[in-house]
Amino acid sequence: MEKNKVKINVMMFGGRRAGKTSVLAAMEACFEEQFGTSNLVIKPADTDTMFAIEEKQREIESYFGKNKRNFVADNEPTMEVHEYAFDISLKSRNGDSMTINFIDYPGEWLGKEANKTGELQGYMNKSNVIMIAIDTPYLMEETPTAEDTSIGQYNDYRNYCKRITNMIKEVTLDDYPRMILFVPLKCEKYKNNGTMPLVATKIKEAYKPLFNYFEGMNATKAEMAIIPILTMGKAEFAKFERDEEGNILIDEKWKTPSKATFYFPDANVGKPEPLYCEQPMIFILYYLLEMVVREKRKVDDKNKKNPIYKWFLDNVWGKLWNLPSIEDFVAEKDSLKKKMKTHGDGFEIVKNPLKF
Amino acid sequence: MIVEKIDKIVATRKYKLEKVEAAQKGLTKVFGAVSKIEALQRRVNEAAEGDLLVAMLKEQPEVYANILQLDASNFYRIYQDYLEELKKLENRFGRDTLNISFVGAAGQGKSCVLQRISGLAGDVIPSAAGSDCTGAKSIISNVTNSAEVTAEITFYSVEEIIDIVNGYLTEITGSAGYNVRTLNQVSEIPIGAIEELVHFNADAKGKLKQLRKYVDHLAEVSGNIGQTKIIGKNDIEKYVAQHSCVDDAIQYYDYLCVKCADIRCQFPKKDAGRIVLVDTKGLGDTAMKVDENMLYAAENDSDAIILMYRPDALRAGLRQQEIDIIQKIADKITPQYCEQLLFWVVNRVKSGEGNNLAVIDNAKAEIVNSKMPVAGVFDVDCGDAEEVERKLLEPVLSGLTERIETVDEMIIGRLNEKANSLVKEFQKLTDRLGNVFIGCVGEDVKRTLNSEIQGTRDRMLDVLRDLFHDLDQYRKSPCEEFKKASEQKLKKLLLLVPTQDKVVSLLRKGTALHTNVYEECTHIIRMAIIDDFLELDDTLCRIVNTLKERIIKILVEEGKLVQLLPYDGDAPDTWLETFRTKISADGNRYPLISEAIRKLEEFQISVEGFLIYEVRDKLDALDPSLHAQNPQIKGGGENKEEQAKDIIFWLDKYLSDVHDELRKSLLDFYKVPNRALFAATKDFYDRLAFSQEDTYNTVKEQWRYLYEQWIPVIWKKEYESSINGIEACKEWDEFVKSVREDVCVKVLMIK
Repeated sequence: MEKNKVKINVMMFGGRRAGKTSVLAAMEACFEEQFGTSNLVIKPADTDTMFAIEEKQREIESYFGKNKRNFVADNEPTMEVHEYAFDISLKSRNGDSMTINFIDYPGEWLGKEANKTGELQGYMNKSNVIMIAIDTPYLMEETPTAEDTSIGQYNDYRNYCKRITNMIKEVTLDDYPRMILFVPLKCEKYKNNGTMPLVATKIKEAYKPLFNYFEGMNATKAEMAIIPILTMGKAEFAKFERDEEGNILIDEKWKTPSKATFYFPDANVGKPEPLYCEQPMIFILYYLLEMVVREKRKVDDKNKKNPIYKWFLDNVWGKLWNLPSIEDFVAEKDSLKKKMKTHGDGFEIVKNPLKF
Repeated sequence: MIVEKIDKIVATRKYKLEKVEAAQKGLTKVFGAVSKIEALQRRVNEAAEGDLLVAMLKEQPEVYANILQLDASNFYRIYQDYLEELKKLENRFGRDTLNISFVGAAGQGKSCVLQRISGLAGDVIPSAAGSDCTGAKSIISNVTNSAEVTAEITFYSVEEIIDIVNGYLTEITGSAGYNVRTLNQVSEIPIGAIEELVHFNADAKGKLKQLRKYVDHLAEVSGNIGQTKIIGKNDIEKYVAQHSCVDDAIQYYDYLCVKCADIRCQFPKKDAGRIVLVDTKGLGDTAMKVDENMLYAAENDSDAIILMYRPDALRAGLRQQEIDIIQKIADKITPQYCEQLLFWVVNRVKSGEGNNLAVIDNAKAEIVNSKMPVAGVFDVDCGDAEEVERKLLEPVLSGLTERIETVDEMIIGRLNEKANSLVKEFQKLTDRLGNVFIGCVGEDVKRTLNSEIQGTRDRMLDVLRDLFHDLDQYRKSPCEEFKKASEQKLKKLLLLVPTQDKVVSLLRKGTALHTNVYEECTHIIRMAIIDDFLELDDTLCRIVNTLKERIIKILVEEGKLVQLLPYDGDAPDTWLETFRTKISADGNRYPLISEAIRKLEEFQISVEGFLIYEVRDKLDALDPSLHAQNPQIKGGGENKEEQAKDIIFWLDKYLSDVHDELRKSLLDFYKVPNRALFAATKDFYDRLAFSQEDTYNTVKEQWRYLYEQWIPVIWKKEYESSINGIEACKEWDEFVKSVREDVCVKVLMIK
């Protein structure tokens, strides 16, 4: 059965310290909370993944504490490429689960001097889904002008929008559409002050060349969506630290602010209260099921005139082995669709060839 | 410490004294130049036979009339005022000491305080509870390393004594006509007859009592008149007191001839430095000119002034007398001076007849509420030497040494304003002198120069057009100078977070809650931000002035107006105003040009005009009155450090938010100065090129008339060659030139 296992690769893209690993940790926790009682089961496929996820979750929790007012985020960067695998199965059915394999790489690799562009391009080519984590304060703050489309002056040094765009353009486009998810992180401040639509506007501006690329001939080649998540829930971005003369402290190597401070408006919050963290997984699963349904339909269409195949599907596959049918996956897709957030609070499906 | 500070102040004043002396020399030259003008005017008026210059000038009646109309009376009025102020300043900066004058009504404790500060007793500084026993004005100088007490007594001259006696006679008898001319006549004054005139007039009676002393005793004490002598401690009393401090019955009359007693001794306070205490006679005394003398001392002999006041336990409320004293002093030396260096001492009497403990607090409150211009109110038991030193002398010396230089600068500033007015008057005079040929141009000369006039005007307008085209290129871009200055202000804004110590001290003050302290800090920060941004006016003013300078240079160079009024790089508005005044001197003959110049002169860009509302709009985060609740502040109970830390966190965070909001919103405003500069220049050009009162009275016509009127100075050579009195014209020019060259008016300014 292992050889039939459906596996998709999700490339976690984003600059250094953008919060890529934190997304994984928060996704797992939220999904369990949202889908614990449903037919879908998601669990770490191996102990390495499980330990890594737990460790990241503990790090996030460590920012919280009684009477704590502020903290500087993420002092533990990812040092090498990690692959985190999650198995997906249906509770009501036996048989092969599907696997989502997240590839998490050090954000530092996007820097020129890392000389890792080739390696990254390799990972990207074999990925079905590209998740672009965006360090939102860098996108939103310190804009050169007050216009909605003005991008933070440190954004490209932090979020590498131009380089990511160029690398995605280098990916060989297949028959099947890929999915590109833009995931703005650390958005609590903008959620609370009602400027999440502005976050989406600025993302579309920062990645304008990429969105343009998937127009015309390439219009069916990528499902593209903006899905902000709030990994902390109650901690807002406060400011970039400044020196005594009022200048932002800059990390000379990366040309980005060296310290971003976050704070708790309510110092009594004891633990993270993430919001929308299940959404990336919903989008990925929906995409995955869509792909599975497409594949199964292809096989079914090919064998539909064969009476033995039909008898096998009805009596052995379904009843004896209790394995999932196309209808089972379609039912799960419908269930996911109901939980999928596609608008409001900065959510937006920008390109929709898969008709999400 | 005080010793060194006073020495430094005295040294600084000596340096400034040199500038004052230079100003005096400059003033003499200005005076000389004006005298020269008047002499020439007299020469023209007298029109002596054989005076070729006058004869030639007379050939041109308009020129001749212009010379005779020159009037220097305004100049002399301002000159006199300036001269007097300059002398006062010379006297002030010439002193080797800092002087503290004691003023007030009689019996308020002045002499008592002087005794405590100087360590001298009643036999040197006369005092008697509730009465005035001081006979003559004393000054008491602190002399270090001297165990001896001496006094230099200066006596009145014969003329001064006669003046004083005649002053009494006039005051008492009014127009009855009594007066004396010699000292011998004083003893012959018919006191009995005068007494009958006085009847029940209490004031006159009091003065008569004083006069009687001169009549009865002047002869016996007149031996010292006109002299100066040094005496020892034991002899001082008889020259400064009206009676013995031991026995009231022993009366002294020598003081009648004493102008001033300069007593020198070492004060008990070691760190008092070179100070001089000036005692004045108490108001209410019937002696002559007490008011005048007190005000003279306050104005001319004082660096700091101490008003002595002993509240009366039996009479509620401030007395009109003290209010009047302050008012009069403020009129003399300005309220601003009083606010720096006039100290009000409330004399607290703890026991005996004058016990006023019950009314002291009320008296102090009334002084504070009266909002009179004073530097401080001290509550002092003037009978207690230790308290006088600690609560009076020390704060006064500290205030005096801290503020005296500011006050000196204030006085210099005032004097410079007068110098400026004087310079303007002088310039008006020399301008009129230089302009006697203006407007006396014949039609043939005008015709000859017609194309030259048109060409000059057109060139000037062409270059102005180039200027606004140049500005047009920038009006959609930010003004870099303003942007840079604003960004500095933005950065400074982030530094307004108070220190931990400051917040802790606020939290510990009284019963203040942490929310009150947070709010108080936001109030202070908001005001500091507004004040700070208002300072951008300096930058805007500089930007506007640079434009005005560019425009003036075009007028002066291309428009050849340099001959009418050269531009020396001073404030452009002054040039514009002077130019406008100059061309309107003979009536408003060029209203369209004047109006254009006036509009340019008035053109300003101010922070209040376009920016401050935007700044205020972005301060909401720091304004608790606009929010339903304050941010949550951690640290309960007595944990002030924790509370302070959290308050600072919130202030820092909100300041950061305000900074970010402001930074973004200000981006649009950085273009405003460039847009305004363009608009002002374009408007100026339009007015100078196209404005008209009616079809026949256009600005171009006015330019032509203006140039024609000023042909004698703008096209000097052409003009001279066209008139008959060439030599007269040249001689006149030489004279005007010499008058102007004689005087370097800038030297009048003390910097």
